Amino acid sequence: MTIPVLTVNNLTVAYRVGQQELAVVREVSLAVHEGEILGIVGESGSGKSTLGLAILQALPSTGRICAGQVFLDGVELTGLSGSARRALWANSLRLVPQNPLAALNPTMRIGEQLIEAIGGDRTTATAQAINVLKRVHIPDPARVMRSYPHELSGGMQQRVMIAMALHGTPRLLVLDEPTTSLDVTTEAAVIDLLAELIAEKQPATIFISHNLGLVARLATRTAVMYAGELVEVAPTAPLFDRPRHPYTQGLLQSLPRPGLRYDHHPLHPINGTIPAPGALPAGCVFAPRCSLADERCRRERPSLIAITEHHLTRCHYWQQVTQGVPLPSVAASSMSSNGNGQVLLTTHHLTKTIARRQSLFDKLRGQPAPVVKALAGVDLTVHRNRILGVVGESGSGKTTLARCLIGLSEPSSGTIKLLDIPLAPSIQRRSREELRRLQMVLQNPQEALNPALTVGEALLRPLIRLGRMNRREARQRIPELLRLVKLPPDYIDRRPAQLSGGEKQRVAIARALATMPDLLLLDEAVSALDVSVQAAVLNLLAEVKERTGVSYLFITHDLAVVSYLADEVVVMYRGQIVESGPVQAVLAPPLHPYTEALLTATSSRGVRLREVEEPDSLSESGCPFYRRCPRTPGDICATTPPPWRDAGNGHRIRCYIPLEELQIIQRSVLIEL
Amino acid sequence: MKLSRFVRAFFADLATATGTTIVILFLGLALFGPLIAPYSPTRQNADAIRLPPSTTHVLGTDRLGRDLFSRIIYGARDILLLAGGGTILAVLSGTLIGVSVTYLGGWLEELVFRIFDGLLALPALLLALLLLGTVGPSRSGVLLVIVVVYTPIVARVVRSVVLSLKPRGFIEAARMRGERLGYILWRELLPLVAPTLAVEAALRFSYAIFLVASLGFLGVGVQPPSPDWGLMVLEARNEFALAPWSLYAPAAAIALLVIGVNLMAEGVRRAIREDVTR
Amino acid sequence: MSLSEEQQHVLQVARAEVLSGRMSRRAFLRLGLALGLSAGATALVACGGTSTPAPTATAPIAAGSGPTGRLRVASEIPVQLDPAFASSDAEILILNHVYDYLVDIDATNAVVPRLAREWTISEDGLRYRLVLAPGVTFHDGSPLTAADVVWTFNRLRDPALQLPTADLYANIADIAADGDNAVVFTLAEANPFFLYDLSDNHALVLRAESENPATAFNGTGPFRVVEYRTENRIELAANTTYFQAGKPAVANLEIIFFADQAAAVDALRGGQVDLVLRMPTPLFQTLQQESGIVTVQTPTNGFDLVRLRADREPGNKPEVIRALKLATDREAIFRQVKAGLGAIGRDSPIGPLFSAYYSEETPLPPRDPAAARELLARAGYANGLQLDLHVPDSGDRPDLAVVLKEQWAEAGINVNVIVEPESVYYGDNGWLEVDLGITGWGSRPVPQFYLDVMLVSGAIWNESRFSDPEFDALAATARTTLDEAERVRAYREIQRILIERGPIIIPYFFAQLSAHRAGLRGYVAKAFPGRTDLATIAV
Repeated sequence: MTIPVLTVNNLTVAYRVGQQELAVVREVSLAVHEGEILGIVGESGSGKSTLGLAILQALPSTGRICAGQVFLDGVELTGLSGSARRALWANSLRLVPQNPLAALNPTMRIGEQLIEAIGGDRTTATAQAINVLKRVHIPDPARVMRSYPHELSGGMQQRVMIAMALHGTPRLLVLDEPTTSLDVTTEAAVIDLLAELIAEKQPATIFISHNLGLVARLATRTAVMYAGELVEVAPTAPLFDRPRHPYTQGLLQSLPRPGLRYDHHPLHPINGTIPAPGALPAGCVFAPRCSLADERCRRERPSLIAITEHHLTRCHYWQQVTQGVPLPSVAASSMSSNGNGQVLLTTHHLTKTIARRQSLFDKLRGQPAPVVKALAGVDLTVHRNRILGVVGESGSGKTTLARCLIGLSEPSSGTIKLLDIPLAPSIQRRSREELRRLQMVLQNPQEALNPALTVGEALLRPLIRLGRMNRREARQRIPELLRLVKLPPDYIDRRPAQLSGGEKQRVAIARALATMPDLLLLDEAVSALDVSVQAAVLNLLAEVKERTGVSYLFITHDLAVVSYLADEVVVMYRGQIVESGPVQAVLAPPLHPYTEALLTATSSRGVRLREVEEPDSLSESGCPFYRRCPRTPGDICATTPPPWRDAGNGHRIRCYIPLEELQIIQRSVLIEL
Repeated sequence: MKLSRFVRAFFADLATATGTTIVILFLGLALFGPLIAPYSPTRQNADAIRLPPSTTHVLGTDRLGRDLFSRIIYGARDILLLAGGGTILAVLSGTLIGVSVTYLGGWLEELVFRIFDGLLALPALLLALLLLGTVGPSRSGVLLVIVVVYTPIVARVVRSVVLSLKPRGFIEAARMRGERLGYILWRELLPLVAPTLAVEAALRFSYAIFLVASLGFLGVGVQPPSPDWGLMVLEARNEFALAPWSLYAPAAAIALLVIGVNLMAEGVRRAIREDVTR
Repeated sequence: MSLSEEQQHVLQVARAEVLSGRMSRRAFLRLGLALGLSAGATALVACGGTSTPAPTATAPIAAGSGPTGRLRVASEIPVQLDPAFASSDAEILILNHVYDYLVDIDATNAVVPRLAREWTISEDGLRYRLVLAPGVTFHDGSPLTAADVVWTFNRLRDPALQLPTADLYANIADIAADGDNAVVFTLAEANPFFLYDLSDNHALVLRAESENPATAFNGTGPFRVVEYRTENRIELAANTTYFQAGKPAVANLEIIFFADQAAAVDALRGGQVDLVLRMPTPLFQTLQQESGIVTVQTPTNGFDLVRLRADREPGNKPEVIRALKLATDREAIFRQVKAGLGAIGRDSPIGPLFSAYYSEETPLPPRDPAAARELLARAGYANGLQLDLHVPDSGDRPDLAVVLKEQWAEAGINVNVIVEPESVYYGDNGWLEVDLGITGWGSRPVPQFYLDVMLVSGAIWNESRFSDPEFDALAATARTTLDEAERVRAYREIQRILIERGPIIIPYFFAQLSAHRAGLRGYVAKAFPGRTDLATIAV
């Protein structure tokens, strides 16, 4: 056994909050060898990012290592002085942060920053910089060198960061949620790149992520963190196959996996919430949320036990942790109930163009303002008591679509009909009844509730305003609403600051459901939530739909969630629907090449999109996907919009490539995965 | 923020408590002035000119034989009323304009805030002199000056808060249930603007005290024989060698009150920030 | 800041009058001269006959010993030094010591000889013959002759040159040398004030054909200019061949310029200057307490005028005017506002300094607020009278307003004091328009001036719109009569009328306030500090 590059010994890190110090990382020990990728997973508040920063000796000023040591190649880092630490940062320690734009200097050209990072003689450094940019598959390094950070796309920025992190021979690489701010297709490419470069440069790598799928793909070993402690460490495959800690198991069971359906398979969320750093339970930190916990767990803190040579877990009853949830057979799923749902809402050729800001000079020259087509003719049908998933990356127009439907934005043209009656484009013109029928839950639960109002007040208002109740009647309805979203009745007097993210989203859902809308628009309503919370909200949505008969328009970038929750799916790309149909049909071959890329993004052998800086600048007339299409499109794609093709069963695809051809290539790809 | 917490914020630490105590002291002087003041603030005594501080005249008398202590006390009433009233009016109008115009947005916002920018481009004192030159020096003129000078500042502060709140989900949720403009402005936005406003009002108040005193000193504010502190400094300026106390008394009063308000405002600002970040 | 405030505002207003065409340029210039720019005249002048007053030049130090020591005098900053344009205290103070006047005015307003040793006036009052003192030389060594005097006055009166004095001397028909030592002025019309006109501030005698009067400094005066630094000081040295025996007393004279009177006073206290010629009351009071410093106050004829417009409500009611007078405590005002410096006024511009004319015959009714209240009630103001009192922000006037407010309040007269910058108060003739105002009037050597411009019906600066046929007739008599006793009688009656019904209150007369360090001898203060004779001062 070689000596590990990184050894962390009993590390405890605390933040100073007001007068007290709160330990957010406690007694963490781990080792990472050369070329090894240690994944660290955990929900928000688990202390994983702090651990990363502590290892890099880059804690914020309020943070402090209280105990333990960090060794890099046998050198202790904790006591290093300023200059030695800077030398270490320059040569051995590297970080790829979550937000590349924040990490790059906005006033310096990329080239300058790279050359500075590489150091040494300028001409050599320049040549090296171009090389590393090539190495991260940037097609035009010279141009990128001349660019300022904001001129690059998010994916490009992250590639530059990776180039900076991986020039020379780093010993330790810390990846802190490196792809969280990126689209799935870009994320896939960046993960591929990281895997490739780590394999080549062989640094010891720590990969911090909340995304279990990504960790499973990239990490050789995985550590699960909970409330500042490592609760389970094991090689990745065994960990995911046979978790030996109830928390790991809970995380895995929270994930909506292929083949699971909302109407047959409720997810298994972890009850409760992660304890605050100041309020840790006496025994096992996970005990309050654990179904296996007994007196002993609440009393006695378990230590990290080695159950095999490489598999450690912090649980008294690890043997009772059952095997992973058995996958139900695919055949078990069927078309959803109530397939005969009547049409609730339709749109006809909905468009929305947004004028960009124009310089005064251009205005004076009489240039027309440049416009962006956020929606380019969307036809949509939502049925009663059905869930329509809308899938697409950022910029695909799915949020604009929802905002047009609800009336927060006015479409440029096209019509929206609710129960066959045209809806006014502006929310001000809609009747209270129309407003009542259509409600929306927004993406960010942190902003969904007014911090100044209590939960009760937040729920009261729609009942009074849209439900035409008086205050007393409305007040009586509130406990019922809280029950509907599974919140205790005493939450009525709480303020948003006293709620967790998941609880806030539940209140937001309760508020939207208060007046029994016919259609609830959910715009990325679960994507900001941790997996365990997300599972609970998904269950909740399924249950509420069953009980109230409400329809959902569910907007997400996460295909796993869509396949779990939606009855029908539309896939959007740059303001257009490129594929639509029942969910089982749409997520099985034949697929639109874009859907294919989305679907396989989570796999290392998936189809990757071509990266273009401004995908919309050309091909106004042809297929919007033409320039990024991985399936070598023909010339016609560039000039004429592709037709709709019917794949049967209500499944339609907008592509020139014959459906049979798509089916053949894609079946082989999907089988390989 | 609960009321008790809010009150406690004024005594959070020694500096803040000192500031609050000073302000309360002056408020007391202003409120109960007639009960405390030994003489009328304008009563002259040709036989008691420029008396140094003594038991009969605690702070001495000025060149016309007026009791300085009484003048300081009545002056506190004057300056607190003018600076306080002006600040309240400015905060009200600034909030009204800031919240509604910013929420409505569009050309109206553009127009209003361009005008405010123009006003802000002028130094406050210059603007004050211009205004008072037009309306003539008087109490109401000073009040108007404070309102005109501080409304744009308050409106801009409010605007920045409203701009950050406007795209928030809860505002959109309110629109989605068809809430009227008034409800969104006053029930959803105002409570969130309030902490910022409290801080801003306290800050404006301390500047307003200074502005009132400055205008008095320049002779364009409150007119004699009002016991305006700034005016008293102006009048005592030439007599410094003869009766230094007649200069010290109003100067110290101004300094003490401004320091008090500033200490208090700083404490409140810190308390509210802590409350928000909590 | 070199003109007195009053002079400036009057000139400013007059200038506006000229521009708007309401006043002739000629009249304007006359006014300019009258405003203390001319040392003026009093009716003391005997008409006709011959008058040869005894020389009054003082010789403060023992004759025989030459000038010694250095005198340092604080002054404001002069703008230019051509005698023909001299207007400010500072300018005249310098020029008065570099050049000489033909005749001078002493501290008692009497005409005294200077370059003119003696003079005779013809019976008809048209011909003035002045004999020059012997042995007078210019600083360049050339002797003074009658030709120099003729040239000087011809320059001053030449209409083509448009000098400020052209109007004043327009009455001169001819100027001729009578030999080398005598000059004869022939007038078109008789003018009993002509000797005073000859001592006008501008009338300093230059060498004939002087090229650059503003910079040549070739005078006959007691001091020669050694160095002139425009913003800083002027350095002078004694003229050892000065024609008046015993003058100057000091070898060196340094006039140091200060932009600010407070700075000048500080310099005096710090020993950097020996003499400060003017200062505000509080600074003077401060110096009074200082040891080693001698304060000198000189009474003047300047005063603050509180006036109510009599041509409309409420001033057109005699009861109101009497009520205001009854409500005013002049003695208290004098102590509070003026600290007892100067003199208490009796509502007439004929002050105690005009000793021949001043009269206390008519008693000033004692203060009686209750009676005032009754008078107001009778005039229809039973519930009191509400008035705005406009006051310029200069001098002690705001204090006067505040004291009046307090005093009048007892009589039910409620005054709202409005303090305005001078430019606002005097600008746009605002001071002539307001109902109730306080205006400052500078010191003049003759009382007639005040009557003619301020109180006679239709006078240009009749702020109060006082119009009284009896008063007008008396004023005309005083202006024209050659009978001194009649003039005295007229002035006495005028004082009675003003006390009884003049819509004015004159609570006090100013004092000219100066100070010097102890040890200075021979300083005689003058109402117009620019005409102070520094040559008599010894250190």
